[in-house]
Amino acid sequence: MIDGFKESFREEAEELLSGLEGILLELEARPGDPELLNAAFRAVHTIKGSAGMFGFEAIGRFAHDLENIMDRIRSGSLPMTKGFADLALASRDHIRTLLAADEAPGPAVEARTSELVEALRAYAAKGARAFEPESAEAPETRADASTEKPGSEGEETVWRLSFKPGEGVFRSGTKVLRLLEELSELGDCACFPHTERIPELGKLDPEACLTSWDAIIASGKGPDAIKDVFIFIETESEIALGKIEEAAILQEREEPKKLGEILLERGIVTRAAIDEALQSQRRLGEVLVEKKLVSKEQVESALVEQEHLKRVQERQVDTGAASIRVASDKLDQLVDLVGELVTLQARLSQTALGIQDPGLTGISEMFDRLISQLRDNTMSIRMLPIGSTFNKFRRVVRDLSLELGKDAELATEGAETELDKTVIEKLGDPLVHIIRNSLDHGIERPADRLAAGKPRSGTIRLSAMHSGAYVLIQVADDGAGLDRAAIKAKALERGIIGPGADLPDQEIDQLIFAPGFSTAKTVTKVSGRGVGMDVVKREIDSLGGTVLLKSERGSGTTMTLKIPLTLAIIEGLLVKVADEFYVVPLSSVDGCIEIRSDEVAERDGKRIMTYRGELLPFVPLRAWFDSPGEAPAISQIVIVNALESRIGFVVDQVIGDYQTVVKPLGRLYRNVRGLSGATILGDGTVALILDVNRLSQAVKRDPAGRAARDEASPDA
Amino acid sequence: MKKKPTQKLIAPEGALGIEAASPLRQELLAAFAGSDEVLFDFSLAEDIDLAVLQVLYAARRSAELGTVRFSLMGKVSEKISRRLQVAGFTRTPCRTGEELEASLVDYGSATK
Repeated sequence: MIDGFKESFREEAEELLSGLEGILLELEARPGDPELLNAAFRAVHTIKGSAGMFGFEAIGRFAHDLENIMDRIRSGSLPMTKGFADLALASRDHIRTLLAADEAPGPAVEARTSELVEALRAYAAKGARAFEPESAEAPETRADASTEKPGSEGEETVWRLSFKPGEGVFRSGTKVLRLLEELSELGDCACFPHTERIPELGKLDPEACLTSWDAIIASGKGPDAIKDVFIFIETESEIALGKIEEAAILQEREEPKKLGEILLERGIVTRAAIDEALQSQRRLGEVLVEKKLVSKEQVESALVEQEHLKRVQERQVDTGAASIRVASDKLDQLVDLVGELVTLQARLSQTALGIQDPGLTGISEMFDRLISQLRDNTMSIRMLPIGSTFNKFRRVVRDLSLELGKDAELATEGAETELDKTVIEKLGDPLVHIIRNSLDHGIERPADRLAAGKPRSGTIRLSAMHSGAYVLIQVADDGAGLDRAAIKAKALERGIIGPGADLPDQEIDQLIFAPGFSTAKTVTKVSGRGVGMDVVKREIDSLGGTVLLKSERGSGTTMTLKIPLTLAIIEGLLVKVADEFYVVPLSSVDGCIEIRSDEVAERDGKRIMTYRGELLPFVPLRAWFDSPGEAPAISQIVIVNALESRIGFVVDQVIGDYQTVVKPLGRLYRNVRGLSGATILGDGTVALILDVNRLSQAVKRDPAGRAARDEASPDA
Repeated sequence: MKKKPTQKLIAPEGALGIEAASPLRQELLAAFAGSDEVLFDFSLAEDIDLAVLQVLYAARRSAELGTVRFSLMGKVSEKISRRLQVAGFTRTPCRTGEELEASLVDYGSATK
């Protein structure tokens, strides 16, 4: 059970740290933004509080120092500087390290903790001067730094406040209504004014404050923050603050607090008086007022409290119901099970079709509709906005710019675009590689940019948008663009192309994806190892996606990743070649046409067809996969959109559309190209899912299909 | 012959702070002494302080004890409406003096 809580804490802390990184980066641009400062403080405060609760004491202690400074920055007693942003980011990274180290950080981690704590305390003591060279001034002690009160914003608590301003507060210029507004800014607040002391006009001293209040406030701020509202009149006023309950505990109450309970808690009536009043079977408030045990105003004030508590309670329940945290492996299991149901449904449909029983067919169709809804809902649960990963890239750009002596910023668009969480997880590394390459090879040094008439600071634009069943992710920089002459020379040197090869620009650009290719003059730790873009291509391919590259010398490079929304279940077109079934992803299919067997034959070493007025290459899958037997007299060509061109695949028969649960190919088939997975049909037969992009590339390289056939076969 | 009822309209302008409380009290006392009905018009008031609000409560108390009618009227500024609601004097926003009169906590039940 404890491990479960710890795991929850880890997940929550990871989320908070991810958010904190983004906030700190924003703070660099807007150092005085109070919302950002508050958000940063809240994140660290929550981590500190939860860490202590779940036994991550090292994190709790470390976060405490960071929290102290953040609180002082937001209160204005310390400045938000670039130096502190660096320190805070480093501290944030260190909390992640501590999180990973669990309760057993090694000596290196402990040394880093000490180093950072020292730096944080120096900042707390000296502010911006902490980052200046050593000065003669002695640093303040730890105790001095910690005397600053933390803002203690955390779990929401409901407080009861009794506020009776002194009669002379008007004369000191105090605007009492403004104080109540300040109070209401601290949380969800309800006030009840007592005006009983206001007499008729003739007896009124217009400069005397005769009103007092009972207030209920649900706030994440501590009692000090609430009392601080009245700090300038506290000596002449009567202020009593008492905790009613933690808001989260209120949620657990089955019914709202009763009026008698509130009056009792306020010390206005005794338990005996309430019990006696309740015996009359009338409204408690009325009876107590009638018996002059309480005033009408006291009852009204208690009713305001009751209503407010009810509202807080309902809000807590709503908040709880709005979202729940579920372990991602449970979600994966759910998707697997839905996948099994989809397969089972296909079998049921096929069986119903064979039996031709109207009752069974009706059930099958209803089942089909429900399974489709279940599938869509389940897949939507796994969808996450891609923006959750954008912060990571912002940090990459920031840190690398500093390291490379360049000036660049990351602009993002479409952060709300949703993608399957598995796809998002797998996109992280390729995007980091692309952004690193843009910074290292694309964005020029400030002097070079100014000389070229560009702004000093370069921009890398990261955008995401939906396009049908795909998401398009673009990384565009306004840097120097690809140096095609250098690329060609390097490819020649590496033997990637032969001497005298005359390649169009588009193919030269593609050379950067070749394994081991690099034009970097020196190997840096940033890029230039010649693995980055190869890895990108391979990983995007494994996601069933494609990479498009456009570059203009002097203007910049744009890399577009076209990624399927989900990997788990796809709509496919089921086709048959000899005795084998294949699935072509439906999102790639452009159309189907018939072809006679004599037209399939190779003419002059090429297979070309006319489709909607366009000449397209086509490839018979029967020959490609070396399937036995004779082709039927009339076959079908499935035309697919692959990368930037179209291609036809000749199959014996098109069976129809088919909802496909993608199963990975086993280890034996891990190097197979041209197939992206497999699926199980309704009758238990296995169908292979075509990787149309890989197949079309192979066909372009080797139209006769001999080498490509080897690629499409399992490694022996 | 029956005397025609007299009416006095009081419509202060601007932000009604502590400094407005005492003159308003004087004006109301005079109005109560010489009129059958006193109307307080919010239309020109931009803001209100507790001291002035207390004067209005006191006027209401006087009206309940005597024979003079005292009513609130006119458009209530959003600022005033919000301020009174936050401080708990009203439970809902009030757009007019009439609404305010019906909503103010412990303001008095009977209208003379």
